[in-house]
Amino acid sequence: MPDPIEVRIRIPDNLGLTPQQIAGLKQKVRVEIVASTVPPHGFTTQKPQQLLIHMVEGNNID
Amino acid sequence: MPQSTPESRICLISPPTATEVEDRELAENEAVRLMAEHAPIGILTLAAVLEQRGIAPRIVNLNRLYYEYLRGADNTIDFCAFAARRLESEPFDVFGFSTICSTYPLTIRIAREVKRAHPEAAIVLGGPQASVVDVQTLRAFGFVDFIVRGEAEKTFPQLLSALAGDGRLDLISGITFRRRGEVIRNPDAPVILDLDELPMPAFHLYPELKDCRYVPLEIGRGCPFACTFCSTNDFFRRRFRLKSPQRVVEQMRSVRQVYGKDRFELIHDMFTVDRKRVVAFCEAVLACGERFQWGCSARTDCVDAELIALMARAGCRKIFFGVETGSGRLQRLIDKNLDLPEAAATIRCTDSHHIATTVSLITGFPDETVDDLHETVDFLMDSLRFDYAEPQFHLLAPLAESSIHARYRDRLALDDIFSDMSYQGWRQDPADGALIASHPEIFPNFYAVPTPWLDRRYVKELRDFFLHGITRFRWLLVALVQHRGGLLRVFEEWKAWRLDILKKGFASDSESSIYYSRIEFRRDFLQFVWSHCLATMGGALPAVSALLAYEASLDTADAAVAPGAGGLQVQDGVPSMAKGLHVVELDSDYQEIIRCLREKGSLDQVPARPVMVAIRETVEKRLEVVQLSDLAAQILRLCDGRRTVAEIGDLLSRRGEDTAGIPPEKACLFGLELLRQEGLIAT
Repeated sequence: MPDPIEVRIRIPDNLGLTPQQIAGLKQKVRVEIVASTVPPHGFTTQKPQQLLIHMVEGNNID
Repeated sequence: MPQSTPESRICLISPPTATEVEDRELAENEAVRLMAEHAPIGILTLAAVLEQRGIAPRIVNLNRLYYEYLRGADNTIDFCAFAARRLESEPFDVFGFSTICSTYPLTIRIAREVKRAHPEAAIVLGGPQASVVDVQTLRAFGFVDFIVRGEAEKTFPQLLSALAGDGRLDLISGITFRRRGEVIRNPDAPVILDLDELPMPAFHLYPELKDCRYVPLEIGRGCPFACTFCSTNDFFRRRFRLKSPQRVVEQMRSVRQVYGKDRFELIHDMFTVDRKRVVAFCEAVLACGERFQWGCSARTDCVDAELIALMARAGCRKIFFGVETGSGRLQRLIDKNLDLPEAAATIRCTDSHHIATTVSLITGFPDETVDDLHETVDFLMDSLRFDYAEPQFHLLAPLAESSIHARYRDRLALDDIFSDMSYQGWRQDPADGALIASHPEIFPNFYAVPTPWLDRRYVKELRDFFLHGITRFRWLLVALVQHRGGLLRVFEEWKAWRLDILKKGFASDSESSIYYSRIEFRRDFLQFVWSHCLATMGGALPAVSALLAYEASLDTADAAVAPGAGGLQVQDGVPSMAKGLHVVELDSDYQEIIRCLREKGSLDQVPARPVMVAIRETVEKRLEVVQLSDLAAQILRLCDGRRTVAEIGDLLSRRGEDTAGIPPEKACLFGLELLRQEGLIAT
């Protein structure tokens, strides 16, 4: 599982937040990666040949 | 027979792959197109060797022809006739076909048509399939003149010289031919020991390379192992060879310079046998000062954590692991002999380095019992807990001259249930089918070995269920399997429900495959979970309901995607959700659910609380699911493309959101900037 992302926000200079405030906000405003998968179309190597996992109609996020 | 000279017109024809898929809608699918764009490294290397000798061969890419055929207007002829007409249009002296098992029947049929049009030309077959069924092929098909067995870079030019009158056929190692009606099989040619001697593949003869997402480069040949299901040793032998790191890096740099490509598939059945040489290669890549991405094939017992870390640093992004079976008993019977706990740990390790890891397993071994099958699918299910693991589940194909084929060649059955190694489409060409039925010795991979303890139709449907299930609803399936105690239990419960409630059965294996590949399966399965499973989930009910709600939301994704207009500008901008972002509100902590599933923990304790989850596509084309904290979710909800930044700040302030003691307008700007940088709102 990928590590939860760092809050890698670049703080706008004009907000005037202290380091403590920034730390507090980072706790309150979080976006954490839960899962990351590849649609089954990436190349695979060598044999057996690539699987034909066909998404003929597909769902909307294909 | 023609006289071949350096002026001879030589045509080298790639083995088709897309042609396995006769159905137009499947052939246009991304997965098939990816398969089809794989540059034919074998004939391109051979072409480069011929060019060194002053011969300018023509390369014909049957995959490209196939797509021309599919997209063309002329549907009055089949592809075989279409391809043959193209090949017939120029009077080559030698037609050299590269062959693989899955499309060998088609290659044979095209060769027959070409010979019919050019009876004076020589028809030469090479590549892995013709090499192992050479005598049988020459006996069965009089229009095939020669077969070049094994590595062709030295043998094929010798054959051309002999055809030109310079040399005797009976002195050329590695060819099989016909003399006065008798099939002559010369001794094997020695393998090429120094692969650095081989020239760069003639990519300049392959204009399609510009459209390829990666470039295959051969890094070595020969596997020292002897697994019973594999036939690679018959082609490359067991003499393990690698190109020097300097040579491979030089070729990678050259390809980048000329073609602008920096992603490579490094071809070798088993790259990592010699650890020191893998280290040397990785160090050479790192030292060259350029960054490349590459994939390779390996065994889980021929890598270790330190080596994987080094490979990742050197640009390894994909590894193919043939685990083959999750049964320790079968591991020994098929002479693979992997330590399965070690294999699982290796997969965990490659996942931790974000290396896309193909975990390939096979079912349908002749000695396989239901218990073995249980263990295999358990291994597959376990690998699903790693994001970067990409499980494959295959039906065994008895490859010609593999140990399994040799043992069961007299007991093969043609039951129309093909391994995906042999065929990937829905409908097979009847002419191919007739050839296969007439020549089991030539096309054994389309047959089945006896599986006394397994029902092949059951296994085939299970495979379709699993592969499409993990594509359509990966985590929901993991949760159900965990709750029910195994994939087979879920599969059988599902099958019974489908037959009982939906009254859906399948008249044929093909019908079943089509069903599972369509969105209809997903809809039916979600209905199955909703109407049948939820009532029996006990304490896991909230978690499984959330997983189901997550999946159901994807069917209406368009409705949830906000327009991508506008962009965030501090104070007076009008932020909106990023285009293509899918957002879903759930009643249970999705992050905690997935964490529990990864650790095989109980879902009963997952807190029931409203959360917001978003799905986005990364630049690497991965689907990333993120969960937002309460405040982040509040801010994102307000980004409706109508409210300004100031209005959002004002709303947050009036709602009394907890902003850690920071003025809400500042917290709002902070949050908006974070969401923008995370790609959740338009910029």
